[in-house]
Amino acid sequence: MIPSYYEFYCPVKIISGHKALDNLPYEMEQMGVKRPIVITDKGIVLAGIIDLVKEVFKEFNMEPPIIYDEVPPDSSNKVVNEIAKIFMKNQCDSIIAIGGGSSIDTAKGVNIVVSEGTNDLMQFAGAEMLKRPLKPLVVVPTTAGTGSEVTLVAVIYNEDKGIKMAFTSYYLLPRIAILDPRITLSLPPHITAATGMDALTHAIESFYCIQKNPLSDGYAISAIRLIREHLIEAVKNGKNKQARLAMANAATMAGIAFSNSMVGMVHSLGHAAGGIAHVPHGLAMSIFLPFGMEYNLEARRQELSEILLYLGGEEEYVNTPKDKRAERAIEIVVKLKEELYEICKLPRTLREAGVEEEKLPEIAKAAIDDPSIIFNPKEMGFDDAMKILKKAY
Amino acid sequence: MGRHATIVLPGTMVLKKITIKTIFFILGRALSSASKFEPRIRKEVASWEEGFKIKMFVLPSGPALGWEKQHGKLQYLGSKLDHGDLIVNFKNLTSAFLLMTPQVGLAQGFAEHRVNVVGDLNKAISLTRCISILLPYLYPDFIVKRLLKEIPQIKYNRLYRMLYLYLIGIPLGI
Ligand SMILES: [Fe+2]
Repeated sequence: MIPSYYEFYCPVKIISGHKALDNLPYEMEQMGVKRPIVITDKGIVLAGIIDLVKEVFKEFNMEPPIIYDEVPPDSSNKVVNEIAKIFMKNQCDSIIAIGGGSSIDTAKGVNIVVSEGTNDLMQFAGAEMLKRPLKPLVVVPTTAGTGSEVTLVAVIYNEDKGIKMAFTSYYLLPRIAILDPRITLSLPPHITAATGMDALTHAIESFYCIQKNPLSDGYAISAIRLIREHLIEAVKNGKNKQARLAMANAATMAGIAFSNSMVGMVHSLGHAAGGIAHVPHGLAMSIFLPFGMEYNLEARRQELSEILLYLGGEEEYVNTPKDKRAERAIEIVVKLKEELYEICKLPRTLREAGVEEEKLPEIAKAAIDDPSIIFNPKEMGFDDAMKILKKAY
Repeated sequence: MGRHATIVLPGTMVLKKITIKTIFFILGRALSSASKFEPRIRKEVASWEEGFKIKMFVLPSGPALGWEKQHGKLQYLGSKLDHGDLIVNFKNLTSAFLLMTPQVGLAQGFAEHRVNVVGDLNKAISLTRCISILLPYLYPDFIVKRLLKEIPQIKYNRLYRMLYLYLIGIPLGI
């Protein structure tokens, strides 16, 4: 089915492959910038990735970049302001984010502050608050999941108000994303699993949510197929470069799919569980995904049936009767959760994730207020959200 | 699909503008009125800060519609509002016409990028919910069904409320 109207946008240059990072200085030069700041965390430094970056700059006869390596797992406006000061002081002209969601979102926040010349990041919170292009931003994702390297969103914790705030603007899109398997080799199994499930959720939700379109479908399908073929291997054998590169590609493709087709209730529930009970995002996605598919089953039977082809493979698809394919797709996700639990103890339920049962109503309330709910095929009210949360407990 | 293939003839622009203006007026007064009697809308509005301003605007030069939260209720401000804490911009006349006449539902309108929202997205969701709750008081089911994923339950005497809205709430602005 072709939508009567849709839009699609992805201006990010993707550079993917073994040793792709070696292209970084060349790309900086192409963009006409000379003094980037690298925004990253200590884990990345320990994994030797920053040394690698310095080396490739040296090889290209470029001055080593300024390094900020203290991004915490849950970054905030204070961290953003701190980095912005370093950026100004060193007269930097561009940003390189190396890390997971936190480093990338922090870099997007820094970009707002330094490009707008403000000291109040929060005045730009919300949708479409930016009015002009920002400094060039290059992203090197290290977790193969969030897709932040190709999205126009940043979520930053406001320490003064005690809440997470979302920023969305086309100007927040990075210019370049570099996918280099060397970067993700050291990612531990349970994080590989959780972020992989986040990518799978992006792909599946974008394939059945109401903003889906033929272009986002293409990305979603390819992502699902790569995840089926490589997720378990990447979790089991982290040193497998082929599997790592495939997962990095899957995450980026799923990111392009969902930033154009949006996500639905699995993310609404996940954002709420993250905000209230601090369930890590990827883990929350893994817990809620089959329930979200089940909830939308009747509204989206055709799409869910089609997903089986990519999620289960050709044989599985052909051997499953037509009217059972959607259910089978859900079963496969449940099976995948079990498998990941076997391999790396990735929690399957909210209880296993350590969430207190008393918090469920608060999570339900936040979930129905989450912007992503609007793109879910089926309406979800408070009572519906409570039912799902209890099932997932 | 046919419903989107609107051909713009000279003169239709003026007609469209008049139609949108009229519907903005109805929507503006109806939501304001419903924010007084409909408990679910009241609850939504209660979660916004006092003095919160909402503006709907058809790019590039109007029509416009504004509300402000005053004394806990949503006050209709007509088209006189230069600033909004939450701004819903319709990208062009056709988009506004499709959403307002109403041929395209709100969620569908978002999905088709027909509006651009400036401000806090959570509030935009809250406003969307208010309008979804209001719709069954404005239109019969066969229209509402086309606009929403699910018809919101109505706990009160719907016909009475519809009559109240059309005979008192909208014309008198109370
Ligand atoms: Fe996600």
